[in-house]
Amino acid sequence: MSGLEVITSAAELLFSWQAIIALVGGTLLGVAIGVLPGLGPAVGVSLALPLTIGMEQIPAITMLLGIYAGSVYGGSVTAILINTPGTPSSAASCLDGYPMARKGLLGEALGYAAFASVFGGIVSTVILALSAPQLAEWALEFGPSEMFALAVFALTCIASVSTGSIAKGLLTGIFGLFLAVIGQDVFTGETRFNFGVFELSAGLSLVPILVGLFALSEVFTRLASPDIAEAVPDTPTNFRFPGVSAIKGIWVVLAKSSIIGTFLGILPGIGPTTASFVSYAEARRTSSKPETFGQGNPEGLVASETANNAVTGGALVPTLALGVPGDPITAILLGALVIKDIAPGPSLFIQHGDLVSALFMGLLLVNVILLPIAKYFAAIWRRVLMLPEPLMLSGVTMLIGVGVYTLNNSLLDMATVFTAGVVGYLLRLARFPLAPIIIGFVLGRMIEENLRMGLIVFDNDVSAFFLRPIPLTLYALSVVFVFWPLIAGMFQRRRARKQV
Amino acid sequence: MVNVSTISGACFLVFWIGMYTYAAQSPFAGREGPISYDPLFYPNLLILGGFLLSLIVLIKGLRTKEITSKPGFRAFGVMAIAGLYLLLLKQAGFMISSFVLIVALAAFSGYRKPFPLLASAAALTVVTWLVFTQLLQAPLPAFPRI
Repeated sequence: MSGLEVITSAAELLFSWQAIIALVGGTLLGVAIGVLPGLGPAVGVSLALPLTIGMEQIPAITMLLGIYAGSVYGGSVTAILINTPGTPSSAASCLDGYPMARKGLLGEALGYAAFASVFGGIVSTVILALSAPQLAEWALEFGPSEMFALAVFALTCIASVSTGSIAKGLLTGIFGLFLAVIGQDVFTGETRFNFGVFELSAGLSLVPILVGLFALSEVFTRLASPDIAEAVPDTPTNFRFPGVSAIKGIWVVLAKSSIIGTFLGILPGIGPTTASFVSYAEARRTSSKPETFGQGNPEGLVASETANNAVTGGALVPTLALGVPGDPITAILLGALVIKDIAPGPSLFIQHGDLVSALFMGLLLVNVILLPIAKYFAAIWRRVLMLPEPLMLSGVTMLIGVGVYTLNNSLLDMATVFTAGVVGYLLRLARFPLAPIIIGFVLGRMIEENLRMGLIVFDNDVSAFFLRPIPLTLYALSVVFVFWPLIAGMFQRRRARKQV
Repeated sequence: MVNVSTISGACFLVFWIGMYTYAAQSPFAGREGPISYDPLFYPNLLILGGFLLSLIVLIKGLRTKEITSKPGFRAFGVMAIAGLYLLLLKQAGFMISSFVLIVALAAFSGYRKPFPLLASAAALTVVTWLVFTQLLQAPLPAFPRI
């Protein structure tokens, strides 16, 4: 297919009424989820995943993309209104967004946040559309040893940069890999670790595990120790987008933050929270009025919001091009693609060029429709924030149950979601990161297949895995990631000793 | 005092030992041939890695005075209500179980306004039922199986 034919075919796929309804509905739902403190993109996308089971490929994926991008933006509304980030990635937006609202610039703050989010989202989608096919073409030459090393690198990165200790991150990553072992062996077809339960022979399903780990454990955590709700201000919203002269004043911040967010999004495990703080610090460093940061400087809000939304496109680059997700949300999206018979990875761009183009166009469209949603629903989000938490979380529990039940009408799925919820809650208490479990579970089969295929190709010679340049580089980087805190600590101690 | 890291490290250790014991008893344990065709080669690698990391977490937990929160009565109550709902949804039917879940969970979590609670529970149940059965064409068990 020629380039023009691909785009025409993609437009036909995307501009169906089902896809448009799913896209708009998903974006609206995403913003609402982002507005509610604690329910971030991971909970939103995992809760919506069961709803997409009966949908066609494009409506299902665009709905999830809408929830993803919408919820990242939604977090900023809460940050500006009540100084509590709706999602962790909006924490940096509190620093200048809330002071702006306190100064009587609530409408302007919401307008800046929406404009910056959309700008970051669009730039990162363009970078995604340009870079992912190139990366995929390069990765077509990857053999089992390269793919194995790449998956190990991604998992190590995520485990290393997750909250808590590295040992805890790596342990939960291995736990996720082990969960993927349950069921039939990929090479011999023999059943492993089914504990006499026939239903386990097919392995554990992704959806109940991730809904349990992210959504149900969040419900348990929030209901077990409820926070005191912040008062929602009753001042009129007066939403207003920044004017042309205001945009001229922030375009450097917009451009720099988009690049920072996209680049950090591509790296596994970094995520939107780090991206927004790095971008905020950079904007402050290069600002002509750094002393006004933290007192309601729009540049601070713009830097944070541009970067955290730019992460959405960046994180999709390795997910689509290599089949390696960089965070839990892209892992869920990867799972959704697999459920819809789309195998992400280097060959995706050759086999389903029109579908990939439709996804890129869908993500662009999600960002564009965020603008009217942000403007015309601004007053509604205040009411959403007034919902009593126990009532809202009880409803979420019902949706979890119904969503998982409709997958296969299976008691095993219901038991899995409950067990995953309890395990997730206990792991949160013990400060274990949950993201590596999902990444491990998603990458588990790929890691095992490539390891064993490589052993067959190299005649069971393990050393051959280390003798090629790309795997060797990736292993070296993995080692650096694992031992970096130790190395950094050593340097700090030495510096402190010198100072003494 | 034993902290949560120590307990979790110990729990993971027991888990990996249990998995190793189970693997050792499986019919294909100790089978001869190339490792690439051994169904237990990769799981055993993971078990070994998991065991070593659990040991590190346990030792680090013993060496630090970490203060972490513990699950309280409220957490167990929430888990019990949610667990009962998830396991009985099929048998008790969607309408009754969902209505009871919302009322019980919200009341247990401190929501004390009876009329809004009952009205919201009824509305949420009916709307969800309509969305799933009519819009998404996903069948749900409406009422208890007799």
